[in-house]
Amino acid sequence: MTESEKKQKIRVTNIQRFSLHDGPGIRTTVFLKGCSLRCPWCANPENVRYEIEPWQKSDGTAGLFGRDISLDELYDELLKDRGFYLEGGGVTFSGGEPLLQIEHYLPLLEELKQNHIHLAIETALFVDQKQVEAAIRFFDWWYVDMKLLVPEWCRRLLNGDARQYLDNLTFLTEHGISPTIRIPCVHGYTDTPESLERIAHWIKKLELKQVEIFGIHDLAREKYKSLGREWPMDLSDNEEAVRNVARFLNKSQIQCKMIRI
Amino acid sequence: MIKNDLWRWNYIVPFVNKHRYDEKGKIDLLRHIIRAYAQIRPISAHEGKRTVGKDTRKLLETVQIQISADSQFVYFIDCSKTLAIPGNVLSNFTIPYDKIVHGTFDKLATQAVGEDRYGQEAAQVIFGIRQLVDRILEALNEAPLSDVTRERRIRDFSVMLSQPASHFDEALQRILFFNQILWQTRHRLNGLGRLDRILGDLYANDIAANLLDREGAIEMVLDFLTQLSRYAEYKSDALQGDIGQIIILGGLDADGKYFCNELTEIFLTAQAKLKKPDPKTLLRVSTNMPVELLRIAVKCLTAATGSPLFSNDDVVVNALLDFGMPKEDAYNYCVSACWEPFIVGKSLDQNNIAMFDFFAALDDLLSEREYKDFGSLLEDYLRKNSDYFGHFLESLNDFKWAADPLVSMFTDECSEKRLDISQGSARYNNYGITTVALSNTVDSLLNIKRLVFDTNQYSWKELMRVRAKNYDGEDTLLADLRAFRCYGRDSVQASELANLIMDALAEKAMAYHNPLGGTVKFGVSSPGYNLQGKKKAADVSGRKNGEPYNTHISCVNAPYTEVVCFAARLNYKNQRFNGNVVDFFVSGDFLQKNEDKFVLFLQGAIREGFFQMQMNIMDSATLINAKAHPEDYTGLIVRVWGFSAYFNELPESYQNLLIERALAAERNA
Ligand code: SF4
Repeated sequence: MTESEKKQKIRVTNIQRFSLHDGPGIRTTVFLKGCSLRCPWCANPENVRYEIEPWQKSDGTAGLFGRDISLDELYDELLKDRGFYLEGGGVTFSGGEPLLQIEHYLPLLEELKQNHIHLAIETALFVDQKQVEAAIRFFDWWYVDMKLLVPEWCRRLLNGDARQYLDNLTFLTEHGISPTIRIPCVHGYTDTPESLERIAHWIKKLELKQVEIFGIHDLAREKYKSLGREWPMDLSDNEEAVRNVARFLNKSQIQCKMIRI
Repeated sequence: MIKNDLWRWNYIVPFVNKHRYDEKGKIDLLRHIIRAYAQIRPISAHEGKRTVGKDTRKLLETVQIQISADSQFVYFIDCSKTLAIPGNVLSNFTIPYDKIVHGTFDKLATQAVGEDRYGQEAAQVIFGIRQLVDRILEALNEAPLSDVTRERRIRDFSVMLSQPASHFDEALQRILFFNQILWQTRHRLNGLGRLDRILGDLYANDIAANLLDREGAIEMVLDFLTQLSRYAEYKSDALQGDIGQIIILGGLDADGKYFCNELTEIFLTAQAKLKKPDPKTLLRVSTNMPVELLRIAVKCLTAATGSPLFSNDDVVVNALLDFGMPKEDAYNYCVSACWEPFIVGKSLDQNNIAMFDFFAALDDLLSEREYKDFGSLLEDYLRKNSDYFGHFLESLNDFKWAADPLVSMFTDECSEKRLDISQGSARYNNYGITTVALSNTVDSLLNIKRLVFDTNQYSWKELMRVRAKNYDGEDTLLADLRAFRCYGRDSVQASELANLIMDALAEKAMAYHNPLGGTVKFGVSSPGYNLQGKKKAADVSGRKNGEPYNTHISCVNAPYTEVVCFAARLNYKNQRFNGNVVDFFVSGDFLQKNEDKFVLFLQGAIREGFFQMQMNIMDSATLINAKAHPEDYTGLIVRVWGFSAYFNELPESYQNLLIERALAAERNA
């Protein structure tokens, strides 16, 4: 990194060491602030808006979600656990939508790559294709969410353009990347036949081999509260969603793995 | 200091010392005293002047023999009889069992006996042991055993003293026999040594001759461990479960190759099956070890007995070599009951004889005067702490050790020199001490620096005033002090300060010579963090009056990797290798679901360079429940300091501490 690149800043909410669920091995995960979607079941509400947000808990403690960190400082932080990045361990960029700020941390990716750090990304792919293109050569491991592919629902419920997503996903596969697809099972949203048919169709069409499904949870309830918002979902029969999705994919001869997020 | 000349006091004093601060401890203590007076008879010889040798002989001649039908092995302790030896009995060590597995007791006896006093004392002990063997042989004829077992044990006891062991089970029986003699003669915290190494060839021979298969060996080792786990109350030291029967597995050799064999795995597997807090295992690890063995070790951890403890040869051996040990010893180290490196068969080393408190000097300074800059405070602290340490070391000179003809016989150079081990005839005659509160001291100093000198948020007077008031009504400050704890974290400032404080101590330690010609070793993990903390006023690390000090090398706010990186930055050379343990809480569920990643974590941690590491596999919900409903959790085992214990049997203050740490670990996960 050049001296001026080192000083460049990006906005993060958290840097988590000893992360075991965001890719192979032991990893450090950077959560970037800001997302293009507004999923009602979002488990990281503090990562959705780009603005730095104040929080206050019921016990009176308060603070800010989000801080700007220089690439230089972030690089040092990410290398602290280097000794533990064995057998594919490394760094994961998550969020929010980590691709939204990618232009601002390309020099960091370059530096990590040169130091042979394994790089993973967790993205929803609702971004400009240029941003995907910029990322392609850096990331060794892609987690891509697959949520609602019915265009109308996608726009109305998530604030997303399904076409943009599918173009990006196709673009990825055309460039030889075979992402791990992660499907959130949300009752009444992603587990309806119409939604699942599209999901199955695209998984087959793009020959996506790794598919993971997970039930959503309400562990972020307190976080919502601390941001002055209410957790909007009713999860009383969400177990059923996981079963519905698994059953449908099985029937469509798509192998999937159940995970816990 | 001769603690006493009365056997009863000698028996009871350790309990009094270690229990006096705990509610439950007081009850335990009373129980122990009553039991000791009511049930235990001192055995002493009647003819002529009494000596340790004569008393030992008499004791061994009179212990009652019990052979259990539940085991293939003969193992018993007559809990109603003990020795009336004056002075401190050597303890917290391991005898070299290989000498009586691959060699013979008779050979040791021949070297020891003679016309001189040393030889006469040895002869008495030898006589007692022979008598005991003969009486066991007699009893075996009547014992409620299967014919096969009876025949085997008669075979074993017939040649127990005269021939090297020829079979795996025979060697296990032999180890049990000498182990029971040690316990019977009031040696405490008796380790077992490198059993995979000692027994590897006999195991392999029996396998090759089709006398044994792997499954049979696991069952046999399980039986062996089960026997050792008996008499837990008799054997326990300060707290129930503090027994110290540690088995050392694996280890780096001087040629850089890592030693392990099938028995290494078998002992770990049997340990997991045992589901008892003691005996326990320590796995010597190294970057050169097979990953598969780590995988088995992680599996063993999931059994939640607290075993194995990990000792990193890449660091520990270097510290021992730096101490001036020859390679043959450094690479062959075992540990005392908790974790303090110990050279078996060559040492008198008493590795846990006293505890030093790093906070004492700071506590006094903070109340004595006002400081205008951090530099002077630090300088004064280092000086005062060194002075305190100097006095502390002087007090060690008063220790007197009881003569020990039995252990002398097993220890190199004693028979050659015709001098009892208690007189300093072994190769190593060092004292080991433990320390507490390095963490609280470092964090206190850094908090003072930050609040008073760097940011001027508090004046010296104001901060000391709220400290003196135990931070009453100062919750925000208290939270701030805790949030800025740096010990165990990335803070280079904290690790450098810790090293600086230890450097000053190391200098004093290296200049110290005890009356036996040895020196003193220290380490930064100690059993005393709870009890000692109770006696001390609030510090500036966020610890209030009487709260426990931080446990070993740990930090409840930091991820595991961060604590390991911190531990790797500490300097363990210059005699500071007397146990330095990173202590983690891991929920059982989390570990089980991520076994593979924990193997990677261990691999990474070994490379980073931790000294030793122990894991407490426990989740807070279980602990909270167990405290409320002890009857439902009779088998729940937790790691306390260097040992594991049943949660129910711990004093409440320890229970609370464990719950707090488990909660903190879960917040981080
Ligand atoms: S894409 Fe992820 S971060 Fe963004 S709103 Fe949806 S769930 Fe939240």
